[in-house]
Amino acid sequence: MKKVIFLADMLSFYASVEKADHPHLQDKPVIVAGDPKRRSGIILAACPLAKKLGVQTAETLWEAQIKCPKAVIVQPRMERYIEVSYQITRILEQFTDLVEVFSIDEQFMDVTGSQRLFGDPITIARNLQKAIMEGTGVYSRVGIGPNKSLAKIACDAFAKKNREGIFQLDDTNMKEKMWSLPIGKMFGVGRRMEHHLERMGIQKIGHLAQFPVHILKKRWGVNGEVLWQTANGIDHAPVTVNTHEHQKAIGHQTTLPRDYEKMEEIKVILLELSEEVAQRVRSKNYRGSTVSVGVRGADFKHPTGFHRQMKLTSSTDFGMDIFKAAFTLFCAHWDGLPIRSVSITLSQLQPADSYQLSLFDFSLRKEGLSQAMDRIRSKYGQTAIVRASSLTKSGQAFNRAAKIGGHYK
Amino acid sequence: MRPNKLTPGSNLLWESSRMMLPEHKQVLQRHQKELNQKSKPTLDEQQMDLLSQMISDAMEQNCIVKVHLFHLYQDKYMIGKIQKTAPERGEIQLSSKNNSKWIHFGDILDISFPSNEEMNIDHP
Repeated sequence: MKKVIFLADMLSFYASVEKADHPHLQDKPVIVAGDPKRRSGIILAACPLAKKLGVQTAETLWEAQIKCPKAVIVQPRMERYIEVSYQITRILEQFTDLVEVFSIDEQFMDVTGSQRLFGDPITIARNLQKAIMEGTGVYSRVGIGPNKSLAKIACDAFAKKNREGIFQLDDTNMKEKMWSLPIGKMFGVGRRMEHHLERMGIQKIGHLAQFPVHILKKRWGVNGEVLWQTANGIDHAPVTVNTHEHQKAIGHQTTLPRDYEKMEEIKVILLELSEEVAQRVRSKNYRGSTVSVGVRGADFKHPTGFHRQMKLTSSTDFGMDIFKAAFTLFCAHWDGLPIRSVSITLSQLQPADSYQLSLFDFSLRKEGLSQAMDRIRSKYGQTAIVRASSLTKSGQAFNRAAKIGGHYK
Repeated sequence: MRPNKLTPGSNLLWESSRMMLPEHKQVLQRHQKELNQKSKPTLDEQQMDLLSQMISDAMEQNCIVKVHLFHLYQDKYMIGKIQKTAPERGEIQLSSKNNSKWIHFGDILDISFPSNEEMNIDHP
């Protein structure tokens, strides 16, 4: 039996949630934007009314306000958006038990086995739209396909643009509909890849589908073959329910409020991030043995920065160990230019129940210290105990504690 | 070989390209756990009678039993000898080599005799 996969995508999700929660905003152009005083002051979401006036996601707030002076600006409430997204997950689960959350506003579902109960795919999609609207007040678009990648393209390229908000791609209309799309519209093709493919004479998805696969494989390896498969409507990845359970890496990233130039300042951020990563790793009962550091330069037009990793001699869940590795990496690779954002990740995770003890690094004292800090923080809040360096001007611990994903909770 | 994006059944293609807030992930992980949560079955009278008969037999013959207990997320078993009963509290005391524990009668789903291998494991 042919599979029937849906991708349900929420229209201007953050803005729609704000409109649903505040009915008096219903007919006004609404913009959800980060704090304009900080770097996060960009447009996170704009409702269709604001978009019609030219407001675009990710532009700065002042650019948007020129185009749309009457827009109501709302501060993001990340906790609320997560809650509504979760509510939508549970609505989808009324139609099938196979639901995979892909992002805060996109979720896959496999309704192959639900058709006898709920009808043909289009009927299910309509009822789903209705259920989401009734439950949350958010308008959703549904892409339908025999696998996830066709469902995604059906949604992005067609369902988002038609009146019904529903579109089905399958073998019968794939060549006619999908192959004539420009190559940049395909899932997995970013700006850079688009450019490479165009230079090879590949303008449309159909061109890529008919391109000799061995040349793509030779140039990009597995990725080349994946692209070719996507262009031909092939994708074997199942809707994976427990996809968020196993964790391969734990990392934190932060965009700084201003460019940091001095080693002393950057050191403070590295330490704060290391401690946060360590705390999260401990709370999940893991230890990790590879530390990676990523840094992005301040100048957008001339991107600088690096992403490097190193393996530790033994696995760890201590902030100081992570910091030492991160700092070594940083010193070795930093070009001295001002910095806009930093990330630290601990990977190669393993359960913390049993691990190789290090002969040279007696860890019991450190363990006691981290346990005490974790307990204080879980009882009295994240900022109840911080490193002294976080109290300097460059510290971001207090600011970060009030946020989710860089925006206010 | 390490699985890649082309490995059948692998979800790497999608996992490598998605954006998820850690806070959102946590909510979903909790949800998954709750989905697997079990509800407690109700035993009928005959089953209850059978269990109490088994408890008294096991005590009389002083033999080791395997008790299946209710747990929200997993199958939980305890192996040992039934030492005492406290009908007024609805509890029995199960003890193994170096441990003993009171078990509420309502938590017992089944009682059986352990296999030879299970006998050697030190429970509870």
